[in-house]
Amino acid sequence: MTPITPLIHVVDDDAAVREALALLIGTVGLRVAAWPHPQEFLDRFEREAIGAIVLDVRMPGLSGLTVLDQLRAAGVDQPVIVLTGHGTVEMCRRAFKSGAAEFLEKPVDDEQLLEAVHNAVRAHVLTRQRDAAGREARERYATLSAREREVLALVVAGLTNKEIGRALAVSPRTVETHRAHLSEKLRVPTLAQMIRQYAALVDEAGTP
Amino acid sequence: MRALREPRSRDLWIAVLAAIAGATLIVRADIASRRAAFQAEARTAHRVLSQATSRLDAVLGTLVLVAGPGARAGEGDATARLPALYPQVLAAWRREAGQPWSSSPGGETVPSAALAAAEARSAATPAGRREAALALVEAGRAAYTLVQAGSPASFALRVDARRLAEAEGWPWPAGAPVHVTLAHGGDVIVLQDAAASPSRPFGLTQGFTFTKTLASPSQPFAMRAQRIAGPSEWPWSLIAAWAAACAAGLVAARRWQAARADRLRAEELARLANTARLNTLGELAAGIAHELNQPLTATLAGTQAALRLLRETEPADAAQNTAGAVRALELAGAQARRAADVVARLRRLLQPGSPPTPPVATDVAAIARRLAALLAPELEQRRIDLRIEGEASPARADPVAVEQILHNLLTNAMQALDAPGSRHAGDARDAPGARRTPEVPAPGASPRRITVRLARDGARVRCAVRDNGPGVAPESAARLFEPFFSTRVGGLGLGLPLCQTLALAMDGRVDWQAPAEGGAEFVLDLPAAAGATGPT
Repeated sequence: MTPITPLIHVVDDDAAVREALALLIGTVGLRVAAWPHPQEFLDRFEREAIGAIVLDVRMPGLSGLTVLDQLRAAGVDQPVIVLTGHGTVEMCRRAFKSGAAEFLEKPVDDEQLLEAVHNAVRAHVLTRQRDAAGREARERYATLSAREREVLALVVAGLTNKEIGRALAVSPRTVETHRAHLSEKLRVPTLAQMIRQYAALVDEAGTP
Repeated sequence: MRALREPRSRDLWIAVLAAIAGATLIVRADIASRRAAFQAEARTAHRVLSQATSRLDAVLGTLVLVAGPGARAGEGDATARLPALYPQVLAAWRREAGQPWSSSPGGETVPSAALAAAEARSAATPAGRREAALALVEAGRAAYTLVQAGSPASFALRVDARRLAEAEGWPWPAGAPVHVTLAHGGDVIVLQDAAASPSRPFGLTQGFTFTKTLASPSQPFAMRAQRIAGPSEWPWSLIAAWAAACAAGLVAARRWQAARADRLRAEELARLANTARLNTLGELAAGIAHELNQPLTATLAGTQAALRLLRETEPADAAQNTAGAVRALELAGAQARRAADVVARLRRLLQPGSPPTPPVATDVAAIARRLAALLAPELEQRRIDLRIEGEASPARADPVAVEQILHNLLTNAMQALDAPGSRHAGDARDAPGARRTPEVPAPGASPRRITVRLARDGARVRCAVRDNGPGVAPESAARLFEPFFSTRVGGLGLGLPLCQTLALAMDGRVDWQAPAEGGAEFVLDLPAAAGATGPT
């Protein structure tokens, strides 16, 4: 099974609505998991999968907005599309404040819903890629020696080899060697890439 | 209560202060007016006394003139007649030049030494305007003696000062609370005594006073009048009236406050009631919106899914797409019917005035069986075991209404069984429509069962619908038949009230009870059809 096919969760207590929405979303080739009970969904849905969540507001037991809050509290990164049959400005405000990606009113038009689902999936894929890139950069940064980190900090600060050498009391040639190691260890062939990918990490680590 | 007490004591203070201030003003105004009256009276008294003393001067002048040259001695002693003519003259004396003062007819002793001294003073006045002089003031007798020197004879009069105050125009009758004195040197003659009244009542004031010297050069008495005044003369009736008015004002203010508090409370209650009504209407609107939006959402999504599937042009998927489209359209059709049901239910509920159908002999058991058959697919999907037990003779009822009631009770029971465990405990049994299909039947749970039991009890036919679901929460039990009451999210809260209304219209009713073994039981109780004798 290709893990890349995004999985859309439809949470609605109404069987007919659930089934119809699942059918509709299925027509564009997305996988759909339908959940009648919000608690069951919270307990059992697959958090790592790429996808989005379509959430009804008015449900027995847990309301959709409560589910939304719990998803955010649990650090779930799937975008949430909130559906309601009787939306109010206040409810809309609450939904967006709780991190909803979209707020749609029932009955919802197919174009609108499918576009929202597509946008949500795209946003989720982007988020995951950014997270993965960040994680890799972090791992590579961890392999650097203390001196190399110092050199990197000065490089992303825009200093020339000569200036770096003066700052660290080493010869420019030594700086050149360190930079070659950096390029290799961090797997960035150009200075521009090095700065783009690691400037944030250097700031995070603190300047020497 | 606390909030009320504060202004209450405050308005009491205001009333007391108003009473005191008003009384003070009344007393001050009264004193001012009485003082003015007294001053006017005192001036009158002063004028009267001044005139009386001047008259004595005139009498003496006349006596001297008459006794003058050309007058014959013995032609009649005017002095003897004077006391009879002037009651204020006690005695009159005459002294011829070179002779002693004659004695008076009353035999009074003649105070010769005093008379001689006064005569000398009188003689010292200019001859053209000879004036009399005071010879003697006798405070004990309230009398004084006046002398005028003359030639050939001098005359003297002893005057009863009290009689002066009896002249016409004297403002104060005897017994009036006015003390009047005439003072000369250290001698004080009391003209009118108000000793009955203390001079300083309650130590307050000495009342009103008036002091002025009489306009008679010969008798320069200082007239002093004192009007005894005090709280006893204050206008107490007016003060009492004012105090009563203040008390009445206080009572009126309190009545007005109480009335205002009542009115505010009533307005607040009305506002609350209005809000509650609006809330109910809002709830109702939200409920209707949800009840309609759910099937509409499903219908719209279903038809649009079908359209998308049918528009697919990939021949390989054609069969699968067609099957999906059929399923989607079936779903859409069913949901359109569901929306229509919601509208029909609302219409039935909102139009209670439709003419009642005449009751006929109705086979309740047959209706129950027909409904069981109708609901069979849903029951099967939910894995619910429905049993119909017992038989009953026909009821006297409207078959359509009975079907509606039993349908509601059965769908209620199904919804109750849908609820997994405690999460749905107390779920309101509600109007049919919002049907749910649990994807996964609770594993290990006791078999889900609905039992319809029919029985005849005397002249009544009973149909009990029992489920072994979680039952009704105690706090919800009392409100089961209340319109718009629903613990189910999205419930309209109209199903059971509608059942009850329909049953009551047929001389029947719907009761709820909690069976000992759990779950819930709703009993439709109807009158048996006439002529039916027992279970068939």
